[in-house]
Amino acid sequence: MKTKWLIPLLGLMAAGCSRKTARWDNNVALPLFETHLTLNDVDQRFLVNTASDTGYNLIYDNLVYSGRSLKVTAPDTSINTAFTLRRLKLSDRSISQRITLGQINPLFNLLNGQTVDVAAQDQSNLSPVDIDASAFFETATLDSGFLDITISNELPVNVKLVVFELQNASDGSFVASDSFLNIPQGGFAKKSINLRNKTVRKNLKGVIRRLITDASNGPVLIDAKKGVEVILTVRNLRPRDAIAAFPNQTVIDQDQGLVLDMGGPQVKFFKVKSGYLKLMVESTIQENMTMNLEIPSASINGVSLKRTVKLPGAKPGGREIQEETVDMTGYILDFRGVNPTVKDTVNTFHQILRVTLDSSGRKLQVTLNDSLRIYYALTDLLPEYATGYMGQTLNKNAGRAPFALFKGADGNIGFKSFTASVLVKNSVGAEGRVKVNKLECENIFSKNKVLLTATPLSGNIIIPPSPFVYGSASEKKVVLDAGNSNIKAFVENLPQWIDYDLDIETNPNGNVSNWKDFVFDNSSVDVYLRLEAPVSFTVGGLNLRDTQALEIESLPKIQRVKSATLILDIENDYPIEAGVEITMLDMAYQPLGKVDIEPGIIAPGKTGPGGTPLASTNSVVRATINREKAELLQKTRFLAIKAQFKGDGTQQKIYNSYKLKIKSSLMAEYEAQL
Amino acid sequence: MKRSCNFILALCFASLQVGAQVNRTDSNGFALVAIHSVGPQFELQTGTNSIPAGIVNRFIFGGFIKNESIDNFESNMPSSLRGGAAMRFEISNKGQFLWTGKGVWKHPRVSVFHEQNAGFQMNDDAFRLIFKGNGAYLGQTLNAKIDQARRFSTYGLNLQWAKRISSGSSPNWKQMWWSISPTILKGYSEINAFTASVLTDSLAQNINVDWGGNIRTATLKNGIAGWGMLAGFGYRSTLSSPTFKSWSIELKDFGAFKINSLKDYSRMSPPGAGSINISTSFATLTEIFGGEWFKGRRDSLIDQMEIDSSSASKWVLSPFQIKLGLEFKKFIVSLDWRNLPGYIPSLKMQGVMKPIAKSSAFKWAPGLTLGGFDTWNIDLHTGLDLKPRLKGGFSANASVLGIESLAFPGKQHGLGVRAGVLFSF
Repeated sequence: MKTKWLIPLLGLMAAGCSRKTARWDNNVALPLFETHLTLNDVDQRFLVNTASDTGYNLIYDNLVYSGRSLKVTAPDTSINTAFTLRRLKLSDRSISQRITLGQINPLFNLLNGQTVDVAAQDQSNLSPVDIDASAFFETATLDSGFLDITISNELPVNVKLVVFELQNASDGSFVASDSFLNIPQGGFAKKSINLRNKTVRKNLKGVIRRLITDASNGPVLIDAKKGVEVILTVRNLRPRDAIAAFPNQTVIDQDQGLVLDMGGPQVKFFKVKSGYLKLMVESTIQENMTMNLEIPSASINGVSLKRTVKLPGAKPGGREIQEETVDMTGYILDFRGVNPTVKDTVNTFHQILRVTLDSSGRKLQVTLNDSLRIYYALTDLLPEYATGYMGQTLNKNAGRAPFALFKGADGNIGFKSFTASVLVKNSVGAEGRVKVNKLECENIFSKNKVLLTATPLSGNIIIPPSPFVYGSASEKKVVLDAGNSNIKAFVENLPQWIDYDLDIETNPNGNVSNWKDFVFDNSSVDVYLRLEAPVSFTVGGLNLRDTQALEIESLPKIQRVKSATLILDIENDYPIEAGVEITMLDMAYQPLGKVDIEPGIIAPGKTGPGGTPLASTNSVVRATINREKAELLQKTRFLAIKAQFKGDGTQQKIYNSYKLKIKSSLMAEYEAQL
Repeated sequence: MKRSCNFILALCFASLQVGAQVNRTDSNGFALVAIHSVGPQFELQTGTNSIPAGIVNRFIFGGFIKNESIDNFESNMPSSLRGGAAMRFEISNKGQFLWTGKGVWKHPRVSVFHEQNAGFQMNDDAFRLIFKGNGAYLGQTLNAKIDQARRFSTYGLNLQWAKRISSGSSPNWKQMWWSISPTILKGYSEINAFTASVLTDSLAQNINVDWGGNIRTATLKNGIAGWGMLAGFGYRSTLSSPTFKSWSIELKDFGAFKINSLKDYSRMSPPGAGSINISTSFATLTEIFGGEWFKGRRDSLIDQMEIDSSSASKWVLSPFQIKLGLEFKKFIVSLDWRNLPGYIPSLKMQGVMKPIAKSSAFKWAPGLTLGGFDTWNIDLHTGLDLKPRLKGGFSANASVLGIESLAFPGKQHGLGVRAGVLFSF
């Protein structure tokens, strides 16, 4: 077919449609890893050299037990109040209505303006008179309340009896009725009707069921427009169901102290490290509401906690909800009660809750089915510190703790000289008592166990409160030596585990501080076994090592890294200069090459008397990974970090609490593609 | 944008059309002179409101974008960026049925096509993160925002019928046409209301990221993301006037795609946390933006995040087009709009093609376009007609849209190409 040549032509055109990728350089900066190098990362082989010709005094504190028996937590505290219409009221109001002489007896209309003798009258069931009570409400069924009926006599004769009845005009239902006796000319009589369980509507009818009047004393001027004036006054109305314009009113008014169960401690003050105040108001009431919550016991920078929540009226049949969460971080809670100058108590906070109905002037329907629910809660409160009396607590603690100094070591190693001690650190602001019932160590390789017998540990160790400084602790050291214990055999067992049995008591002598105990969020009683031994690192110095994984396998685009800079931000606690070395390792932990770090020396940290760390020094070093080494980076799965300390020949103390903190990040020039 | 085109399917359809010959009358008895023709057509339109053509062209045609180009643009970058690209490759029998009377064009125009459409609206910081990376902005907060971005890749078969309403002898004839296109969706992704606040500290030890919005990508099943049915309708009316020739309106490729599984890489903020702190991770922010990063990461960042990676099927509206056309004796005006983010209504003006010399087969016409993906373009339209309406005829057309971008690659402007050939037999 003559058109067959078209097909290969089209195929050629289609093949030419392939598109190259767009590429550009992207500068990516990302954190890599963070590691802390401590003596737990020391090369074990250096510890076996105990020659004290030169080198360092290694102080190794092994934590045997750490107890936070005085952890103060405030329980979640919530107020959940629901109330109904019984708490609402309607305004006291009055209306008046006159029943004229002409209405009482139409005959007087003919005599209007004349002076005549009026005979005694006795009439029944006079024509009803309309009374507009819309000033009260549209309609209301009342739980309680009163209707005062006042009848004033404007007639030219004395009234001996009036029986007055009030009806709802719409259905003629009975509202109230009462009789009024002996009302002189110009005088009045008043009766109160209990409106409980009565339904009253705005359109009323007043009916005089009976009217008895005296005869006049001689001729009197007839004024048909005068008669008896009926004054209706409602008061103290508590509606069950009403359509009305509700006045401004306070519907909840609480001012009280709330007692919290703190689980033992008697807390005076509590500074919040974290926690929330949660507020929620829910209403089906069609009128606007306002909730004012004040907690005078909670303050920050001297300002007490106040919150106002406005709630618009709910739609008919609906509900309106407002919620708010307040971060309580930094607040100080005063648990001394409502008025500490009058009554200084504990675990009690002062709260004021007021809910008001804000009248909009609209006539709204409110029934007993309407409700208003107030919920507020102090939740997840954790203290930065708490003060008061922390109580007298005795905790018996038995368990097993690792002894990391000799991890992985076995064999027959002898220490030439060392000192050991049991060190108790108390960071609680209360006196403590520690009784060591048992310390037994185990070497898991030889299965050998050694029970520590020490005369100084037979009695109680009393330790004073710590100073009121965050992170500080009081210490008590009990020195063990060959003369008062079998500590040498204990240590030379090269244990990996220590079994302990300890009694730890807080305030063994009661409330001696007079409610001035305190506890921080990190306060604890810690028991250490301290070893202090001269060690030598003359061969190769002291090396600390760590290996960090790079999850490069999850990055399919790593091959597009052109060059990179590894940044190490190093904080050095050690009082010695350190050199840092980074080696790239492949998946089999085989070295691929080192990266060149500039500068290679990390400045020493600052220490105080006795070698205690004062301040670390900060050094930022960089390693440039050029284009050639970037290819190695693509194969790298691990980074080996080696920190090497070389001494200057002077004796120095090294604590295992020292850290070489390394934070690393990578800045890479990366070819993005799309 | 897809890196290669697969036209095996297209070739199969094309081969069905080659060689057939028809010579019929229409339903009213008017003779239809059937000349079969076939040919490929390619159309590409790109543009942005501000990104230099040198960068955009690399995006479209590939190649390395120099750091200097990005830096130069950044120094004058506006706060709001938009842009996109639309590409269509089509092989069709042109369906040159020349009727002499009114009636229905009984043999539909059949074409197979491949389309790629993409558009975006984003801000300057989003550009910075994507093109320079967070490493260039240590200690600075980047507030990146992508209002909307869409990408479609489709293959389809288009069947089009036409009807001539009035008599061919009348100077005021009218024509309407309609089409359907069963279409395969090969790729789809979308970004909606995406915001990312990124702060990298001076040593890159911590990156604070706070982001929201969603990034959704269609999951392929047997190489297919979904399917759709598109429809089109057009109407043209000619008028006998000394200056005016015709007007037309067209709705093109209107329809929807059913995506089998659209994976959502949204991130929910953890309760009580306003931002995420990346303290140990290794990822590129472009991968984060692309959604790829979430697939393989298992580090502390993931623990802090509540990533909603749920999948769900979804219907999405096609990137359809609405066109209005006015043809005058000497020039043509058209207005069109595409359902793609970054595309604003486009007004095109083009002269009527004229021979370069008297009786020459080569023709040309200048053009000007306002809007679209771009802000404005100067266009050049050329054509070659060798007996196109006769057996053995050949015609070709080639248009360069945004010709000024070739002269000023450092300035903003889009570029477009429209080309095609047609063989008649």
